[in-house]
Amino acid sequence: MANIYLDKLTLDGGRKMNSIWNYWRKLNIKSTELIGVAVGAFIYSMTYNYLLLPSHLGEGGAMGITALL
Amino acid sequence: MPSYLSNLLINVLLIVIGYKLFEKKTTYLTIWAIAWMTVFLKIPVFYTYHTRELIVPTLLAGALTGISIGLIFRFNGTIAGDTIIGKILNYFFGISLGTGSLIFELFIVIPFIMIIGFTNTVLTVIYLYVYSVFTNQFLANIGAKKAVLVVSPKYRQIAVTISKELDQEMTIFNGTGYYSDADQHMLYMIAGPRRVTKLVPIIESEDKNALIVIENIRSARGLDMRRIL
Repeated sequence: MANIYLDKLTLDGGRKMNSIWNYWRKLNIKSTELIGVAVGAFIYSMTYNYLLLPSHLGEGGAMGITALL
Repeated sequence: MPSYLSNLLINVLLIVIGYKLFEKKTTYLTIWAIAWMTVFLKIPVFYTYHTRELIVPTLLAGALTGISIGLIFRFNGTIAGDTIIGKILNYFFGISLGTGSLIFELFIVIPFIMIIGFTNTVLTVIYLYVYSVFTNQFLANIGAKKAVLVVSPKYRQIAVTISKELDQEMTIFNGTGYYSDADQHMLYMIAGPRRVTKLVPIIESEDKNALIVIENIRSARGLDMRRIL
């Protein structure tokens, strides 16, 4: 009985993994996109930490709205 | 409302709007960018740059922010906040991504004059302007798709060779020469910069006298292409 239950769980888990994998493949996200976005995030973060923050330059965006609120 | 909560709520709202409007992968790449920024912003600052000439960090920060945001846009991501607003303005009104972000940021920054003072507000406006110019220039020049127009009597041979060697899609236009009144055929194709460097030698090998016009594409709309190229 326990074996049947475990088999069902494995099967369900496998199906779920399969559908997640299919969804991911449909998104068609390339490795260059993941690397490019990460590099952009790195340059942005370093600019923020090393230049914007010490210069006390105000920023817009969601943080700006937050400050105004 | 606590600042962390309002910041989170605004960004979640913008990401949901982005999810509805843009490609699904843009939303996932936005979450990917935010995750990395959370990690990178935690890296300790090893050297603090201090100068009395505040215009230097202002211009440098504008240039670097423009390059970083341009890079994120080029790879189909955003960092939520103003960048999604920029993308929404681009989607509905065709405004450049950098300019769209700038318009939104100016609305937010100008009331800051009461909080950060006149000098810092002016410097922030300069920073935002440089950031917007660099973002637009980055998107227009780095990795932007190009339109290639070829006018040649050997258009059929050129089309066959390009299609065989590069699997490139193209359209044939029929035209008429103004002076000769003769039929002219033109090949029109859209390709990335790397492919353009392969296209030109192929065209020249088929017809040395072919007229080749290459132009940068700012954006394209239609079918599944309603986004910046």
